[in-house]
Amino acid sequence: MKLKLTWLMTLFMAFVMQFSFAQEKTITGTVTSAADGLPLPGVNVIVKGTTRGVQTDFDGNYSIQANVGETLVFSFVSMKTTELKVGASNTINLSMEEDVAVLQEVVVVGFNTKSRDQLTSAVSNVTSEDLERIAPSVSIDNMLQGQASGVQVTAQNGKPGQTAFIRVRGIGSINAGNQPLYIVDGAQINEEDVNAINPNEIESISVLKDAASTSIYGARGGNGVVLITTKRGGKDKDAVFRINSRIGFNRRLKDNFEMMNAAQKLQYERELGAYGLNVGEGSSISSDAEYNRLVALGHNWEDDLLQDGVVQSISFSAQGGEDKTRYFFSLGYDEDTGIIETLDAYNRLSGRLNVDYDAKEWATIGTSLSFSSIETTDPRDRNNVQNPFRAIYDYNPYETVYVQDDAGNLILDANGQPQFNATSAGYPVLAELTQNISSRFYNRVIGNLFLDLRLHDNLTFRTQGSGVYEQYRRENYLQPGSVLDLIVNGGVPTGSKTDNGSFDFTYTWLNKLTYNNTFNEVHNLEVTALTEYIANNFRSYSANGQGFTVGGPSVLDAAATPFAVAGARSEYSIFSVAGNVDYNYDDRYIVTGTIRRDGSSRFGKNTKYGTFFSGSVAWNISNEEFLANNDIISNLKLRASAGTSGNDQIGRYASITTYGPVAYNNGLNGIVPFNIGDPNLSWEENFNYGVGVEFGLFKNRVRGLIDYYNRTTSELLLNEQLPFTTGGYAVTGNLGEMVNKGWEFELSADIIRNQDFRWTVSGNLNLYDNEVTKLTNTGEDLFTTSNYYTILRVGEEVNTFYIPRYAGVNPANGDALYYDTDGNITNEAAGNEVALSGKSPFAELDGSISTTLDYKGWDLSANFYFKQGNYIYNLMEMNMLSDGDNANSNQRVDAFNYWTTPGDTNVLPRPNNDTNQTSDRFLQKGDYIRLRSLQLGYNLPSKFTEKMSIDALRIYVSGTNLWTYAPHYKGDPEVGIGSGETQGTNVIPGEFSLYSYPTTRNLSLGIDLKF
Amino acid sequence: MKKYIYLLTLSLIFFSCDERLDLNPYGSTGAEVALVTPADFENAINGMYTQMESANYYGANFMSFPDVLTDNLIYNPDGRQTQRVTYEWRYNANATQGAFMAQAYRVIQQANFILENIDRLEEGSQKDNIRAQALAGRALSHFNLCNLFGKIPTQSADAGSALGMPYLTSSDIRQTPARNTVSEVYDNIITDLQTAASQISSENGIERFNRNAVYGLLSRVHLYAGNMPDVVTAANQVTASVSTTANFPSIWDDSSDDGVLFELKNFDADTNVSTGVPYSQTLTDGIYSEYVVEFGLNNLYQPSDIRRFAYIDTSPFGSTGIYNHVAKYLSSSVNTGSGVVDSKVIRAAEVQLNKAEALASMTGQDGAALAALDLVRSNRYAGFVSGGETGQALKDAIQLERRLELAFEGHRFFDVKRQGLPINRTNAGEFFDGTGTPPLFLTLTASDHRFQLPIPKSEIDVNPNMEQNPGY
Repeated sequence: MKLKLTWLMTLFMAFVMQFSFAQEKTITGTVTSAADGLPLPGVNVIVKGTTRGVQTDFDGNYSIQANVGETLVFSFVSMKTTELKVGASNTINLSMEEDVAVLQEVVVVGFNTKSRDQLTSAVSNVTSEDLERIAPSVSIDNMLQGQASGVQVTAQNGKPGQTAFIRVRGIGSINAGNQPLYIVDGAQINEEDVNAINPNEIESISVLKDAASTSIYGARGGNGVVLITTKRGGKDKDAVFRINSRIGFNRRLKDNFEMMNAAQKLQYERELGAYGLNVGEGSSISSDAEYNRLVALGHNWEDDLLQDGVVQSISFSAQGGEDKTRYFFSLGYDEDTGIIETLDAYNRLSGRLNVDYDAKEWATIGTSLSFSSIETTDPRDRNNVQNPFRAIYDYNPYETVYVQDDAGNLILDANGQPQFNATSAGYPVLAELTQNISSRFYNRVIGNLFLDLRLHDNLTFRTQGSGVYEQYRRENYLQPGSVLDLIVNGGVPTGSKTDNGSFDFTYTWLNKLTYNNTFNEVHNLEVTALTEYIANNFRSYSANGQGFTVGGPSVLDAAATPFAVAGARSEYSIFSVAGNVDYNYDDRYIVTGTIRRDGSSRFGKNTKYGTFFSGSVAWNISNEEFLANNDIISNLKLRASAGTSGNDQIGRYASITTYGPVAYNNGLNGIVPFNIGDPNLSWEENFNYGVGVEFGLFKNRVRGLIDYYNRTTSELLLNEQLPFTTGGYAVTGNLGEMVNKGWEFELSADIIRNQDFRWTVSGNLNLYDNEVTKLTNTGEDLFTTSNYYTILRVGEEVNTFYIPRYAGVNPANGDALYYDTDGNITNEAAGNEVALSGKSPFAELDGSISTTLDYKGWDLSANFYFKQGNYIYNLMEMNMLSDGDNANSNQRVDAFNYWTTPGDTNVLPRPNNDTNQTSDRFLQKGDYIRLRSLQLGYNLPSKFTEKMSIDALRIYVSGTNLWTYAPHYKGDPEVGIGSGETQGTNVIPGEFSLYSYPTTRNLSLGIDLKF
Repeated sequence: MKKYIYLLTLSLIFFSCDERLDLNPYGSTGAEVALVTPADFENAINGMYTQMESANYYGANFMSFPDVLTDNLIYNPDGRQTQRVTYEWRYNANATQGAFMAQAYRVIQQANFILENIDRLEEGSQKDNIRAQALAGRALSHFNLCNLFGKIPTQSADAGSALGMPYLTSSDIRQTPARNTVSEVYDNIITDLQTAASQISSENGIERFNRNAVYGLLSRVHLYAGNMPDVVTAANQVTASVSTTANFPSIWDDSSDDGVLFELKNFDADTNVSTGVPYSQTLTDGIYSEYVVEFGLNNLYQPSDIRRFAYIDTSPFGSTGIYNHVAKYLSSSVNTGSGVVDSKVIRAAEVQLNKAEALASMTGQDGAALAALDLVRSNRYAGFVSGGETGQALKDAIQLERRLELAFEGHRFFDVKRQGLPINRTNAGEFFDGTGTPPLFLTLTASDHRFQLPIPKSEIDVNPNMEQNPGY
């Protein structure tokens, strides 16, 4: 109907024009899309400088009156506006090209937004559309893996709701934390707060990678900045409702090795008995009947301790706006039971309301408010008998879940209940999982309130307060009479309850003035000045009571004895002044400059203030005349940047030497050293420079970029281990320098691109090179508190492995052999550690390959992530191939391959009583490639959705971690945390693996509904 | 209207927060103001005692590993297999007593911090008493360190000039000290203890260094140094008497402190260290022991010996078997935590045995030596009649009594070592009747380098002046 009207209009206009300008001729032609050659209906065709215009019809045809010498202007949404002169010919056909500048997303950079064209710096941007094509996760950072070049994402572990380690352009720091700065709608949040955000609420994520973009964040931007922007409503947009729902299943990834079954383990124990090792049941079996009885008990402990986890997610949102008000509203619920049989691991309730209101023509007020409530229950991430992920490997298959007599009857306790079998580990993990439960609750409010004033046509001002409030609460109840309770309380049922938690509030007050103008149509200038004040206030408490009745109430009030209390309080603050100038000549030459001065309460007395700056330039070569309408090069841009930024992630009072309270003799006050500080302590400084080229070829069917960067981190903050002879304290100091260099490549090609079928293949590749260049204290090796098997040494990669070298098995007697530091062969590993040049927990390269296929309503996307060149110390293997040392616990099947007779080679050492020694025997290459995400979706055709009165309905199935190839490493190669409670907060990701929550495989079915 | 908006804008832009950048911690005090008032010094001394009561030191480790190393204990293979490396003498630079070493030096650092600031106190008895306690803490920790990682003067002819441990008199945590010789360390220990003895308050209780304790420790140091007449002189300054038979069992659950010269207090509410855990934990099935009383030692306790019951609990654990558990640290009458008991640093009985040993080595003092020995024995054996030993028999009786009296208190390793003797374990198993699995290694010969424990590798890594012991 509407089109018909247009037709009539066009005819009418053509008639009118003809009548008015009789000397003109009629030009006809067809407008098609350059991308696929199909006709374009509805293109505006106007004679330049006049009001004469027509639109193309269904088949892309038009007809217009014009004089020779006049210019026709063709314009269409998302196409490059094209001007053509009327010549002798009466036919002008046009193949319209996509306007890259318009198609390109707007990128949030620092305190402003830019189009891709205007960027001078290395910024990766992931949009909500990109995220829809990736298999979902409750924590958004896990979805970023492989999505952005130069941004390395490693899952911390497989725990439900667990966040990821994100490393931007290599390892910028050693002890001060390597996590980037996270900003959500202007509010600074911590790495662990990322999982408070429902991924469905996110509009885009920008990762700022170079100094040109991060120096506006001064002392906090040194490790890169992750800017998360949530969705907002659009002006005069009718409300759009969305429902996203998904259900899925998680299962522990299958190991690429095999554990012994009951018969094998008994056989192994029997064999070890011949070496004088009295292990397990097998070495003392006296009869076939006994052997057969034990074999018959064989079972897989994984079936008893683990389950298939269920993941559910549902969220609802409404987005829209009127003339003066715009809104985005969302509610979400996520649940992930996790893979431990008895625990319900994670659930999250989240909500958001973002509103903008034009209070005056020159004033807008707005808010972004989100709330999330998370409840988690998880086992202790510790290398001990309380850890179920150690138990599944350790427990012998012939050991029963409950205590039985030889006839197979359960032996009941005094209350007639079956008793958990303590097994060879000495403590039943099932007792831990059912009787000693810790629950954690996190309530977080993240949001902002802002006022925008348009003071003048070119001058805007924003004042914004943003904040993160986190209330954390943990409750641990050790049931009276439980196995652990009886151990810690000398056999007397006592029970213990701990309530602890914290209140953590960080707020940022930003005042920003922006001047924006264009002179002579080509000189675009934007100047920003801002002040920012950030303050944090932290309180924590802990209360413990003991003495509960069996089966009675578990609140602290019910405790017979108030046992212990604790509480703490701390603060930090940062005050900053910053400015930014962007100058852009005709979208061809772009120059930016940034300066920021930061004062931070964390820094030492003598070093409170730091100044950071950057400059960058870019040249949009494709906007030059000589490349206009070039058939091959459709987009070409060169950019270069240099600048500084800092890293202030040190302890709040680390620069101050203090004495803290202790108590002695039932209530006497005492003091002992609490922190050893350095008054000259300051931020780590990053000096960054880089160059990049971005290109688009063949009408942007092939797109890519190449970046080179060089990042020098000086004044490295390190926890230096001081001698045991002075107390073995550790001190944070500015102690070193490190260089990260790297290349980033991105390439994406639309192999097939037409109306029905689109096939895109893309990939990115990152090369990392790291070297420690200076350690200023002694110039020698440095050992920090977070190094377990690694060292810092000038000239080597950061955290190079520092362990003895294994020299194989002595064929004559089966002894394990090691090299001493001089390369001679010895039996002793300890004391013969050497730095294994080139072997560190950090990859030399990583990247991803992804492909998307769209055919009519179907879409398929797959994403492979790969990583190469890192080494992992496999402590779990050390326990499973223990040469008899740990043979009371179950072993790997290949443990059978040990030395038995002189001359044996390619064997494990002869089983002996000797404790297994640390050496590079267990150091393994962590190379792998993994099908990280696979998703198949189907959009219901419009004829169905119209009938159902909805806008769109998409159904998809997706999977994560469906396939992995790891040729060297035994176990799951995606190692982040080795053992949570052992490593604490100073984790070197991937240094060793030690029974942390394993990675899971997920399969999900989801529905996205829009109406 | 717009005018006000501009004003608002300007005022916000020039808002400043500089003065809010000087933030101090809430939970601790700056070092330069930590020691100002007399109360601060008292608090720092209390802090030193909590450091001594750490699980890495007297709180647990130091009360067990010097016995684990010897013939006083046998490893229970059905236990949690803790300290096996120590028990089997398989330690190396990566697995040694590093935590103990750091903790003992923390005590020294704290003492030195107090001593460096002591002139902020007015001259007088309080200052003297603070100084005395700090010096005693410093001396005792150096003594323990040197005996473990270095040689003991009487151990061998070359011991005096052998590697001792660095004797530190500065609290500077950035120093990288080199090792002093054993003689140098002992000279410093004796000097510090003598000063402490002359300045310490006579009113100090047993929860802190006091006059009796300092003289008692001095007698121990002199004994280890071989200064026999000095042992007697120091021991004679100790006025407290040996605990009576009646009170003796109550010492171990802290309901009596008879005969205790100095103990580090340990309460649920503050230090809360499970001193007994290295030995055993009590479960519903009974006492679950890591180490049990060695069969040979067990047989040395006579039925008439009160210690047979005070020190040993012969009982089954579940269905695994019957053991001779160490009963010294099982529970306390004042704490609920399992094994949370006070750590006895020195007792009067030891002082008498020090004195007896010194006298017995001097000519013509056997009578006095026997008298000192009998002060102990008469309070331990029911119906005691003196054996009237002389000569070698007396010396043997003194050593026997010393082993029986001080078992499981962290003495045995040093008592064997300082006499240049080997460690000989009984070839018997962990069960009460000697059945079970005998020790894998039975003997450590007197000249074995493993009598000097290895310096931790992490110390050598960061302290270029530190020298490793021979043999590692």
